Amino acid sequence: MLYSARFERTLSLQEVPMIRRVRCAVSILAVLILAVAFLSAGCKKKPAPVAAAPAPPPAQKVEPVPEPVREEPMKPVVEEPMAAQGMGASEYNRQGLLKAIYFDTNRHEIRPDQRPTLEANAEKLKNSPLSSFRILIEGHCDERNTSEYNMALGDRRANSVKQYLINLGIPTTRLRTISYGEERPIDPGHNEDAWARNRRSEFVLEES
Amino acid sequence: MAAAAAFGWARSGGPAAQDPNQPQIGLKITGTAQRQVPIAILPFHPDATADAAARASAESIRAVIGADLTYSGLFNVLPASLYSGVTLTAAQIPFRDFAALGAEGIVRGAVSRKDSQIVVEGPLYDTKSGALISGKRYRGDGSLARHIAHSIANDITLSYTGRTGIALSRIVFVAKIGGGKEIHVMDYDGAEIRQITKNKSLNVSPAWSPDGRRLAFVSYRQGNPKLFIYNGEDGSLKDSTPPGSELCVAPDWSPDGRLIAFSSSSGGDSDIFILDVATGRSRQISFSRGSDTSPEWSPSGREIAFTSDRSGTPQIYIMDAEGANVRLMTTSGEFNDSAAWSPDGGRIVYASMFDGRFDIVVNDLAAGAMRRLTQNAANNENPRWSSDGRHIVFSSNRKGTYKILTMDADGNRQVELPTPFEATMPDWSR
Repeated sequence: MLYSARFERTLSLQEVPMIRRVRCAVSILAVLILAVAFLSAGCKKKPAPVAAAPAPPPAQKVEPVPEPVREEPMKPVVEEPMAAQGMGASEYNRQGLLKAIYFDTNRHEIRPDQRPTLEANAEKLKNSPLSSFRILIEGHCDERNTSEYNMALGDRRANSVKQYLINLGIPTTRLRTISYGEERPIDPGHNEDAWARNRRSEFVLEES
Repeated sequence: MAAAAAFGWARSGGPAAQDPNQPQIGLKITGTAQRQVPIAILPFHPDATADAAARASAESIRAVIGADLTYSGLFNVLPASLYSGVTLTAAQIPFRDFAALGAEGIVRGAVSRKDSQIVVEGPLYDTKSGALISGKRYRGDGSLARHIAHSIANDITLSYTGRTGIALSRIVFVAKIGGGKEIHVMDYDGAEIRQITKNKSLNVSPAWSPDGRRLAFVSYRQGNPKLFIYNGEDGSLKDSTPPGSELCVAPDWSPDGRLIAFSSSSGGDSDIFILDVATGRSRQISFSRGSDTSPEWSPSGREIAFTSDRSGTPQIYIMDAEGANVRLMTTSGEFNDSAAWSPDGGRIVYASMFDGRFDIVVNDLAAGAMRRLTQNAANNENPRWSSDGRHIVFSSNRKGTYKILTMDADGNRQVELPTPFEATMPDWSR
């Protein structure tokens, strides 16, 4: 159920002028309090595997000194991009093939230093395996403006990215924009570094 | 009406046939310099039928009425210590003693129980004459004790001012819960917080309909930000996004509740649109290059204030409701936004940036005088008026996390309404 409850309900509460004793039914509003569900996430830790070397066979009478257990650094699992076939947009999104680009305060124009990133994104979008997907361009803002103004600013950022991609040859039919204003910061901080990281446009591949 | 005749209450220009639900206006406070009416609220006496629960609610009802009247700024609720020496009996009220102590009005309530309900009377008397000024009997479930108390406070305010109080008004706001933002409603005094949306998406920019029965807001629950209308009567939710609108932001109801102004954009250029709620049709009324956002109707419905950065920086403009005759209102400040018209139409309150942070500023339109109401090295945003024009609700991060606060219209008495989560974007019902 998406909507937990009505915020009002009608009750039979009577409001009576004391002097005339006339009963007038008056409906009044009441309240429902809702419980907030708390989600707790647990995380499991796996013990690091230990490579134990076998003890050498005793060659002499001398009591062998037991060799200390050697720990070898665990080789990280190498994740390689799978072959194009069979992979959906969400897998590619997880790989982060398309890089975010960043904006100056209150601006929506593409910064010169961000153009190479955007052009690299466009190249990937033109070629296999990404050429079959549609692209959602997200516009984001830092927290410093009013939230409603930031909705419009995020929209302008997403649209200037869209225009740039069109100019680079991505068909407009593959492109969609959305503004999140200041509602989805990537850095929760309240300083210049955080703001710079939050003034951004992100790219999400979508199945066409 | 018999009571009016008996006590000789005056009513100027009233209709001949009077509504028995409308208490008579006999002690009208006039003028702008408000004098606070000294009033005593005596303990509500529980009668023989009152059980423990009814007795407990008697005390809380008295406390809520006192808090409502104090908050209104119209009354001076006399402390109980002032009349601790006066002997009170159930039978008689010593009017002369209270008049001598300075009280003009006196409330002597009673609580009883009938079946599963509580019955509450909160009669208001004039201490000089001993006359009954207002008095109704309220009956309801015990959980409605606060509601009954607010109703009695409104009756008292109506008796002295001719206008009902704001004690039954509510504040809608946006709470940050997990990664989402959900619409919540609370009483104007911060009690009874209840959650309206529960979709773990972004639900923002809530606005009350003038009748307080519906909420318009923007939700990302289907991906794109769309305009929804929530009906509090039946709990229904309607997607009211006009066809072709890509980014609906900042809805505001017209004073007659028939139209909703909002901003919407195509191709990165945000403009103001008007939605006819009944037909679902919309039309564009602003056409500037640059973002036009945050529309807000004047109380007459003839004008709309909005924010535009057509001149470079975001400033507040006013236009006719048809979109013509656009004029700039704010003449100073690098960033002005979130305009809200006072109920009498004479003032506009808004958020203005000072040294990188927002403060609340009120503009007296006739005098052309700006007055800064907040100043505390934090952000103070999203101001909205109470229906009596005496208070302003807003959000502020002055203590770190954004919370909802209210203040008097002159900036005095800035008080936080505690919420167990970050809270922003308030709107005050009528």
